[in-house]
Amino acid sequence: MTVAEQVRPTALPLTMASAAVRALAWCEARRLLRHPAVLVSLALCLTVWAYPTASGLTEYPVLHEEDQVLQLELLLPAAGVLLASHMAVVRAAREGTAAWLATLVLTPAQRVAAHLLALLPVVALVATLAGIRFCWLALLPGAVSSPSAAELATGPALVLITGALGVLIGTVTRSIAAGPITLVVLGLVTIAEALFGYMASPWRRLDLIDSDFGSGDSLPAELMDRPAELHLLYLLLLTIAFGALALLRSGHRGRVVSGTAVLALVGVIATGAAQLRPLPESVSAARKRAEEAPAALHTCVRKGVVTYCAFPEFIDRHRQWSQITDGIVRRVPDSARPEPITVRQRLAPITTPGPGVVVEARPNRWAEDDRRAGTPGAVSVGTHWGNGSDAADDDVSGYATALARRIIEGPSEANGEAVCGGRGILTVWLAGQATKESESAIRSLLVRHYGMVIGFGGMLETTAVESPDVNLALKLLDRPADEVGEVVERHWDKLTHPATTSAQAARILDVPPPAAIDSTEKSIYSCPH
Amino acid sequence: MKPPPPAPLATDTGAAAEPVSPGASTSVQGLTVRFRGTLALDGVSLTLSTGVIGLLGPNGAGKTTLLRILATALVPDRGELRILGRNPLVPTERQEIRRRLGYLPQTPGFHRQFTAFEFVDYIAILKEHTERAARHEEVRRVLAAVGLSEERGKKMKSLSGGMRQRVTLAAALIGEPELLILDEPTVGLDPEQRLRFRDLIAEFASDRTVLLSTHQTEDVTALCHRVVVLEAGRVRCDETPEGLCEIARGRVWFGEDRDPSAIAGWRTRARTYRNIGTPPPGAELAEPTLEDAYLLLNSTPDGAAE
Repeated sequence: MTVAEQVRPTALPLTMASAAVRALAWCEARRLLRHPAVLVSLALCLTVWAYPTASGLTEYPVLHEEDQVLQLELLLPAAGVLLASHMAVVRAAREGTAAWLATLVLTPAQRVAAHLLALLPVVALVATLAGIRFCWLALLPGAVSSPSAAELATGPALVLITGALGVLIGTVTRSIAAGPITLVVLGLVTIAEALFGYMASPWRRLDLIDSDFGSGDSLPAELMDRPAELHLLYLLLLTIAFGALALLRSGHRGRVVSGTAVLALVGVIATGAAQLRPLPESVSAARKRAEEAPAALHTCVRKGVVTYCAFPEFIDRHRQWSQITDGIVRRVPDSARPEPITVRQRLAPITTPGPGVVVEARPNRWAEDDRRAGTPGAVSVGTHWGNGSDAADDDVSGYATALARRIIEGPSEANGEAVCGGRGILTVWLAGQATKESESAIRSLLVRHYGMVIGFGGMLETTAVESPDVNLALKLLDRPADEVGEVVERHWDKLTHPATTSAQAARILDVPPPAAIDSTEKSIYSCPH
Repeated sequence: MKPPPPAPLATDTGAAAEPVSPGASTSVQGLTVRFRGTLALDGVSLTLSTGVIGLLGPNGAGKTTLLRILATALVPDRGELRILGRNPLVPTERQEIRRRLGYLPQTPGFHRQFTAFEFVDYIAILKEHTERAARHEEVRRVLAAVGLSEERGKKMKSLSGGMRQRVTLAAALIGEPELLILDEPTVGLDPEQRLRFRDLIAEFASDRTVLLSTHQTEDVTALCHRVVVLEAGRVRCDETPEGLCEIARGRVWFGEDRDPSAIAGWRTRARTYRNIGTPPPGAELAEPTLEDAYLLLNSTPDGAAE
């Protein structure tokens, strides 16, 4: 005589489309949408969206980057859905109803199928919220470029895959701690990658998100080397594998599900392996071209005496650049109005940080590229914009000071060298008074600054001005711009003369003279005194 | 009053007290179940018919095991089994049985965060009640039947134990099952609710089969047309309540003290002792109740017909 056994789950065909499974899926979906973990994670995500928006930090989005940022942000609801879906699956075991439910018509596999289907409305909600968020970003006057459909779809796919993972874990263990432990493990893996530099490795692509923060610069989309479609397919196959394994774990023994699990796992391995390839030579060569000789890749727009040249997806940024240009040019007397100027977008050195990687010095081939393009002495501008980050501040202040310098000095290829005396003070004041953003960017730079010479433009190194001259310019920025502008216009020739010292300029502008520089603090970039 | 000759105790004959009706479609023959070497059921044979059938027996007699088998939760080691005319060992037939079955386990559990309505609705979905409006109507009906219409919006965790028990009973009643299996359903119910329960089940069982496992002999007396007593995994008695009472006729008597020769005895409100067993000559006999008969049966060795 054998030992009595529990009734095994029925191995009936899994009628996924059956009305009962759908009804249960709706029931579970409603519970999932009301689950505290989901609500809290959604609230956190909305806060993450709202705070920088309210603070004006996201006025100039680059849409082919924002679609990746969105994935990071959607990890919050993904985590919430993982916890909630796992708790939903183990609910019966935890609350003592499992034995009872086992005698009802729907089989455990059908219940698991309903849990999987219940993820879809949550994913739809997250996708809708993310879509609204992204449309809002795209409609901002400062938005440039266009997103990748695969990158956009990856965000909601993350919610789907973590939900399916939660369901799978629930079929493996009844422990309520399994969900949070899984989250912690996923978090630790991410932190470990960041700490140990695996970001530089293609292995990072086997994570949920391809966290490619490598370049440190805002790149044209074709230089980013993100196999977004492949990664999305990888995630979807992994989701299918999780779902099929959960069904098998719940007692389903159908061939279709078993076959699907095997095929999905094979697909996961194939798409995972395909993502592990190194940086393609073509992308590497394209990056080098874009970095050293961008003129051939640029699209140009002329506005007044200024021609703005940029990588095609960034060309709309000329609207923001021209605001700075207009703000500077209006302070220049008619007699000194500039000759035609070209503004050219540049990329800082493209590097992928990691163990043993040294960031190279800026390749100074731009002058040669400008000459070849017939635009010698073009003013450099970066790929970031706004006051949302140090990089953006650097690019705003870098462009503003570079343009002011160009107008004061005339055509020059002397990027990065210090602007001295009255010219230095005038350069910073002209740049700062141009727009609120340029003033904010300059002030932000000073907070981060150390040393006697302040370099503008970040990695582009457009301009350098001695610290006392910058401080004097900031004092001028505290005064009404029109009042200072009137003095500047009157004394333009004197202030822009290379022999005019800072002290002389201070007298003209009626501000206390700058402090003398301690000789021990002078550097090779300092001005001759 | 001279006691009449005691009736012989029924033994496991496998025969129902009532003749098997042609419509009766649930029967077990020679059911045997063993848990880790312990015989839980030992050749149980029963045929269930329309009406309420009480299942009595001491703890460990095999009542819950039998109910779980009939509820398709457990597979017996041996024996023949037909539930609602179908074989529960065949997956497709088992699903059909489950569609027509209502089962309330001894400890059903509950989902803390669900409201009473949501919980019963959830069970209804698992019983394939898919059309939403009709399902909600049915949920409202069964909650009203157990007197919980007002509390349907309250969370399960905030309900009293008795209310939760009624919610789970309501869930078992979903879809008016042809066979209703209740494992100690009146535990935690107050007297008023027990009366309501009896009314409900009596009406429900007018054209259906209810198998009621309980320790409350009053419920059996009030509800059941038939009583099955299990002992040590075997059917000790399968009788009408009246027939079971007759077993104790002439074996219950009052005395000033607890009679040392009595199998069982307890003090009554009238400060006399009610003794069960073989009365001494001249004892004042009492009208036997189902409880007397049950106690007598439990205290007498199997087959010890006197």
